[in-house]
Amino acid sequence: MRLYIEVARKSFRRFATYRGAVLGGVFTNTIFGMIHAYVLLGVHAEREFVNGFDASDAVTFVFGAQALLMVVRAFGWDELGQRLRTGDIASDLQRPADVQAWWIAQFVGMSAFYVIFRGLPPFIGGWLVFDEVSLPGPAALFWFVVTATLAAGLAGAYWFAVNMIAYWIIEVRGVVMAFSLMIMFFGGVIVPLWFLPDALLDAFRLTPWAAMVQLPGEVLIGSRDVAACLRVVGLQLFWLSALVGAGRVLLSTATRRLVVQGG
Amino acid sequence: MAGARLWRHLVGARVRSEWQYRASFFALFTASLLFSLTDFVAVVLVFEQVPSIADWSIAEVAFLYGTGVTAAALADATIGAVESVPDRIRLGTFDRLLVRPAPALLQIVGDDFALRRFGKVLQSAVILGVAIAAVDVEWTVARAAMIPLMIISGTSLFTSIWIVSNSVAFWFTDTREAANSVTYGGSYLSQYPLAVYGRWFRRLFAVAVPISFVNYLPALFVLQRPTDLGFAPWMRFASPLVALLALIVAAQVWALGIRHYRSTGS
Repeated sequence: MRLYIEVARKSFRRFATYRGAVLGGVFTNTIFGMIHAYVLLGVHAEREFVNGFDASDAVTFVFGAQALLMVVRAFGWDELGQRLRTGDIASDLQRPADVQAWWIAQFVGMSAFYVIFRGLPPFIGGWLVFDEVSLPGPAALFWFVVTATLAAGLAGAYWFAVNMIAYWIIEVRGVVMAFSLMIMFFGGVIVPLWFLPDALLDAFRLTPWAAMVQLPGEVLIGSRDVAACLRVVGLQLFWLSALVGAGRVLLSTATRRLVVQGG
Repeated sequence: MAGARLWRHLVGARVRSEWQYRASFFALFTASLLFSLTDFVAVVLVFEQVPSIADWSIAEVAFLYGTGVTAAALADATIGAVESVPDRIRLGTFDRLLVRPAPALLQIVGDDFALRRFGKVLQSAVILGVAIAAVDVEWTVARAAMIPLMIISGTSLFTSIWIVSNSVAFWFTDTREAANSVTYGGSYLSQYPLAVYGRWFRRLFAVAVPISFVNYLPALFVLQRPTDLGFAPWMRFASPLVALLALIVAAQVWALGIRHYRSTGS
């Protein structure tokens, strides 16, 4: 366990070296959050509630979602896939560590960096610009931290499994983009899921993608009581174990017939 | 002329190489098409809740979406590769372009050309077609002619925005992420009527970065809407001129950047 904590810490520090990228990313996340927020305010100028959520909920949610984007790498993550393509994966397999745990630890270390340096600033920016953004109370904040942490682990397991597909098709970018799209849409990044008809909303809230962004976002705006927060945690744990399982199956199938590219 | 031949040659090579990973090509083409479609799904979902936004109907917003995103996607497909400049400068591979006997920009857009980027163009053009059929407009030759004109000037404007925002990398490192705010952000901004945005935000991102000339202002003319937000009526027809000026500025900034360029030295 100590090894993987160290991997996560190193990964955190690795991302801390790209200062310009962080600054630029924060700026871009803030601008996108503002465009989303303005559009949703345009909607709420016409009607007060959408499915029980008001303008303040919508705008706060938007900046919460922007804060989570990089934490779960909603735009995609293909570092492992590239290593599979180039054959660098061979050196990962030689380490006296579990390949899956190693990469998920790396991912979570990166997420921890992103939540502080790419998540918090756009949220504060949104709070400064929009009166409608409300800061979470202590309870909402606590549950947000819990669900955001689980979302990071879940995303790590998710992207590990998706990247493993590269073992069979080599060029993984298209697949990564397709799986990224799932987070963008079913995670409620494009538009909060409560804009969907009720039947779809209830079904989509059960997906792993909703568990990555939409549900932690709903927790952040304080729209859920303790029982509901626990249900979110339960759902996240379910998907975490399912995706870790899927990643393990893919990894063991792959290593059993390994041919290192360029090898 | 030699430039055009070189471009065709480079692009041909890229297309053939893309074609080698066929499954991946179709996956990327479809994914990029669906990716930009989700933005329009958001428009539809929003209009499920309200009949209009800032007094614009869904057909009119679809027209903004169609014109804005088609222009942005065409620019992305042709010049979008310029977003590799910040990384090339950081990695020191930009030097390589300068020692070859062809313009650097031409090499970049030829070298990183990707056919899959046209997925977005296809998707937004279809939406534009549907929007043109759906809007309630008395069509005249002038209004109809404005549509191709605004696509051309919009594409030129986005082309300039792509070049200028990525040229910043000649002076500052690691600017790729920030460039996204005006390139992809600009495309996203153009999908909704400007009235929804706050005043200073509108001034900064619609006027200083001239997104309003991409589609909002000419659309006011096409859709027979009154000129609002403090714009003058003649501005509805100024897009081609603004686009031309933007291209000149972009060419100057690029040339200045190349002259200023000092290799990483590593």
